[in-house]
Amino acid sequence: MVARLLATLWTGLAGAGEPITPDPIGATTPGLTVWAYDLGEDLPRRPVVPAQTPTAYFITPSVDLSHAIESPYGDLADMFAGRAWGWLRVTEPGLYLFRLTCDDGAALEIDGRTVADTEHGPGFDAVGRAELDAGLRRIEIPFYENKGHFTLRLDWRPPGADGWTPVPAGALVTEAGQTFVTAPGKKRHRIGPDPRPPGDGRPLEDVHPAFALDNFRGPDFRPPVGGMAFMPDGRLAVCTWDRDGAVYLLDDLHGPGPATVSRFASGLGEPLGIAWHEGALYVAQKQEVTRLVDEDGDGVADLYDAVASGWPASHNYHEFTFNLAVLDRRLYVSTSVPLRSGWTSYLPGSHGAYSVPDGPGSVFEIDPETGSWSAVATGLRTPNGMSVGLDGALFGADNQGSWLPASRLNHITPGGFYGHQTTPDGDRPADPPVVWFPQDEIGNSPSQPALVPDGPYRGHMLVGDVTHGGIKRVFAERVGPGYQGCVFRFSQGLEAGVNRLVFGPDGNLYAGGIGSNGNWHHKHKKFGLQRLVPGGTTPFEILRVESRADGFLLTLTAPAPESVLTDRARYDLVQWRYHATEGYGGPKLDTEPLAVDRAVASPDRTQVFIRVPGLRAGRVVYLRLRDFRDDDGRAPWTTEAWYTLNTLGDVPGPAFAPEVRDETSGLMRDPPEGAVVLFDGRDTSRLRPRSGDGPIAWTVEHGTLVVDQGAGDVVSREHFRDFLLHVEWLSPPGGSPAGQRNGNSGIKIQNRYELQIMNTAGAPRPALFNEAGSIYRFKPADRNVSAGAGCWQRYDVFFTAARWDDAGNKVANARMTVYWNGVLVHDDVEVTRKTGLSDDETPEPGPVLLQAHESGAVGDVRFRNIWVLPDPGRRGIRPPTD
Amino acid sequence: MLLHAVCILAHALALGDGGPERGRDPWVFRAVFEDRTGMALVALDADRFLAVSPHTCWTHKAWRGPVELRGKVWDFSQDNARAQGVVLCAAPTTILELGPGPDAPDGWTFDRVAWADDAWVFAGAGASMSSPARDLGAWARVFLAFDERSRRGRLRVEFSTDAGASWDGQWFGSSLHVNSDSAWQWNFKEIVERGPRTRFRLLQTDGAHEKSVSGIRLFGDRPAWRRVVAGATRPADVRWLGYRLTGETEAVTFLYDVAGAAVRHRPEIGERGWTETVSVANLEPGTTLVVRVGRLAPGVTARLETEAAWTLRPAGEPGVFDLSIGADGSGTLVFAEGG
Repeated sequence: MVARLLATLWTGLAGAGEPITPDPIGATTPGLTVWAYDLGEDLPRRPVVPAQTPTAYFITPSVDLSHAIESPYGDLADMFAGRAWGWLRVTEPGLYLFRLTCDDGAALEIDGRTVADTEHGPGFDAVGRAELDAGLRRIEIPFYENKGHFTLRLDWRPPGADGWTPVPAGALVTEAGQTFVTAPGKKRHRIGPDPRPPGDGRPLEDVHPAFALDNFRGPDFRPPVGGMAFMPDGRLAVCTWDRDGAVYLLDDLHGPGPATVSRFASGLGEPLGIAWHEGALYVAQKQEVTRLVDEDGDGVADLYDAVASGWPASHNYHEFTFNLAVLDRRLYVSTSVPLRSGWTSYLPGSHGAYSVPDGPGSVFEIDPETGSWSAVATGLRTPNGMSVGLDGALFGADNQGSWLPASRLNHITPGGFYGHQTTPDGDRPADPPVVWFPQDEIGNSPSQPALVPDGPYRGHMLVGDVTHGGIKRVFAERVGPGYQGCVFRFSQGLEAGVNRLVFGPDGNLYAGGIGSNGNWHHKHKKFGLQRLVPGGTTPFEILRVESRADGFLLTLTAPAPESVLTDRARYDLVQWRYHATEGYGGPKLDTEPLAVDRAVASPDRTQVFIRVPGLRAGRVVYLRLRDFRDDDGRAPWTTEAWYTLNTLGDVPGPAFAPEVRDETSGLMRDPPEGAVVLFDGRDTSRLRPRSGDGPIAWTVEHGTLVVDQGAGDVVSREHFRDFLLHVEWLSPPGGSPAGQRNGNSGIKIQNRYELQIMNTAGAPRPALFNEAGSIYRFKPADRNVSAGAGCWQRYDVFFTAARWDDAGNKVANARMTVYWNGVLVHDDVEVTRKTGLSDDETPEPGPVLLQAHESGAVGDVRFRNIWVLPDPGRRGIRPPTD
Repeated sequence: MLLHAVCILAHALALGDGGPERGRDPWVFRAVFEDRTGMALVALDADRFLAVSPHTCWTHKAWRGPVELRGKVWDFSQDNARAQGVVLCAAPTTILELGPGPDAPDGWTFDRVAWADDAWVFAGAGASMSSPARDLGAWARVFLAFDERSRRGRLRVEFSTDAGASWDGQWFGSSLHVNSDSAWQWNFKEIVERGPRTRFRLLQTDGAHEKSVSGIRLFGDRPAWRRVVAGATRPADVRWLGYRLTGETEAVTFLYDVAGAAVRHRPEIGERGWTETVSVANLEPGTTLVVRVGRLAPGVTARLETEAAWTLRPAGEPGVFDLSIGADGSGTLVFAEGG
């Protein structure tokens, strides 16, 4: 039982439950690979070490280790664990005996079966036997050392031998060409089973519930995906990072069987990007972008047109040309820096420090018309993944290593510099990342971002990861000079590490997998192609974390009980910073826990603002929800978020008003009988442009009516005299109060009296006479009960029209009673005049107008659930009283 | 069917301890080859290969025998592909090489550097070794490569463009990070300051312990194309434009822009060797293009078949020829083994 458990746990180093590739790829070298992890804590028994970058990484010619293990960060003498792996070369089939010696604990596994385990017996030795066929047999030796002298030794008795001898160097082989990447710091581990569910402090295991996993490729098509692009006819082009260097076209993507595959091109040199542009497929290969043209129409490319080539690069294996993004008729590729033994290969001197100057670690902009290219951004290390993302801008991932204490997602801009110094003594300040991906926690090898086009995660970017596996979700916002945001776990359950992500015209998310030897893989898989089909259930999880000057505004995908949201003890927060050095990766610095001193929930309980004293700019803030449940009792799909707080904004968090429950206020959300529904989430036919009689140009998204500033105001087709109006609205954050450009809109009653809409911050400050809740420039709200920017709010308005005599003289002013988020803010107010640039007062009834005001906010004002109940008094419906 | 064959090949390549072997699919493929990026390799038949350089826009090498395919997509190694077997034709690439052994060629000088344990060992700070002078002016790209051992001490590599009178040309330091005292680590640097009398030296700048180097090699690419106008000869500007495939394995035609002329270059298997057909269009009047052919291995001959006013003449080095192209047209270089 223990052995089986151990086997499971240790395969978990690279991904649980998947068969391990039985054979090494290509060349081998004598010995076994050893990964060792500095754990730094007392180890009563063999620990479980989740997948992460080792502290030491080397090849040992034989299993005979003792004393300490050398690492670049100091010798490992105590409290470490490790794993030796490779293949046993069996030349003579038969019964083999093995003796494993370890003073603390180790196990011997051959072809996935535990043969010996020193923790099963009283001594330091364990003896086991295995009937082995000739050939290469996968061998794994997990071990650990607590304190004292360290010994790990493997002896054997092959068939016919009469005594124990060390397993000779010639009988052990491992993969050649490994890059010995290590990183400092204490490694995560645990003793025994993990009590936490997936997604709560440890990786997810399954596919995100909003999607269904679809294996649409046939079993014989096993692409190591270097790039993916859809063609206008719906075919999917896939280029492969393998010996064929091919481009395949996949058709019949939605047929009853696997997609059909045809090879369109081959022989490309490490193609790692592909795009459809101006009627042709373009592919990025090492030091070249090539246009592929099928001149004779036989379905196979004939012309390999070198559109652009020759940017500086050396032959170093790590100088890849990644990606192929198309933006404004220009092509963009990125290049990585040369490596040697896991370090950046520098030879500093009079003409730069790279082997070939002015090329590595850059983004190149290419004019496909002329073939000219130039480096437009620099300071990258391994920028494997770049695409057009949020706001039509270029975003690219970069992998941790020298000068990158953790992986990053960068907003690529002209002149940008992203941290990897071009000389070993460089100190050029780096542009901050949109997000950091803390190493081994939420990413190791982030790859291509894909902008979510629709659905609840619209506008977020999904980012694959080659070695951490799965897909991460990034929500980004503009704060101060640039983007920043947070990253969440999103999905696992894919067949391989994800190298490329692209949304298809069918709305499906296509994930291309890749992997290689050493630790360049996830689950030991080297290829993969699957798609995620939306349409499942949106789980309960954090949708967004937005920065405020004094804390974070969390938006959830579903309402949660107020008692949960406002319980400050349910939020764990830690902040730290990074300092880039030439060393590989980097530890967290100035780590400090943070406490929530106030948690207030939005009226609809899908948002909570947590006030967090002590937040500092330039930090990564880790947030974990504890014991959270939504209204339906669902636990979060994932509890964690990593927010990169480059800048603390100056907008305070919303001071959500305490929820005033409808059942106590007497207000109604659903339209009562007799109500005229102006917008029910779909139908806009009861609205028209203010000037015109046709349909309105405002759009409907996810059941909300989106204000189109350019299309002008809209009004109800029907005119009303006395009525009860219910309207819900959302004003996005940002914009300037100067000129009232901060999410401005409004409701004009009879197109005469405006109730202001704006992203006014909540109490304790009062709301002004031209801010949200006011009868515009006539009277401010009695109380500021604003939910703040980005939150749904509502008005319930009891309106009594002005009265006129037969001669057309006004004999009584209009009167308004207004509830804002359920709170009375205008109590039977006599409105003596029209407000602002509105229609004149007349005896005639008037429409309800929704205003399209100029705004500089991030996003658009939205409305939902708008209805009018004429003559409520006659129906016995009156303003509720306390 | 084709895909199936590819899969079988891939499966076959995945097994075994040695470098992978390959068939003829793909028969034209790009690879980092002999330390050069983006090279186009052509499998003329099962065991005859030809490598075309996108940097020189001409044949880099032709050989009979396999390709040792190394690199991440081949065997996951950090090495790159190389020709094996019998070299039939190879453009000169090595400028200077210090092979193993204590007997250095003429021109090398050593100051407290001695051959021991298969390496040149520096005695400590101030020890140095210097190369003879070479004319690097005619080379398009030049690189210095050497292997380095020992974490202790560092080297400074300096270049002189006046045969050693001064050492104020390009310089660089050796690696900051050598993994161990016993493992060799390669270094590789592009040399951009060069002249007709260039020397370089390796100088230990710090560390009392012994630093070792080996495998010192200065190499590069010579421009293949020259442009002759009014009797003046200069390297021609070249631009790699890719290639066109005909049929599955029928033909490949490489496409270049050479001094504004459209050049097509088609290598094919021949009766006793191979051929390279060249066609040129839009050559500027008054301009002659000259492409350097060879160096051919002993026993390999070259002749030109053309109706154009083109000539193929010995270039003054054994096995090296100049193909002069004075007008638009085409011609075929016929290379034959065994005379």
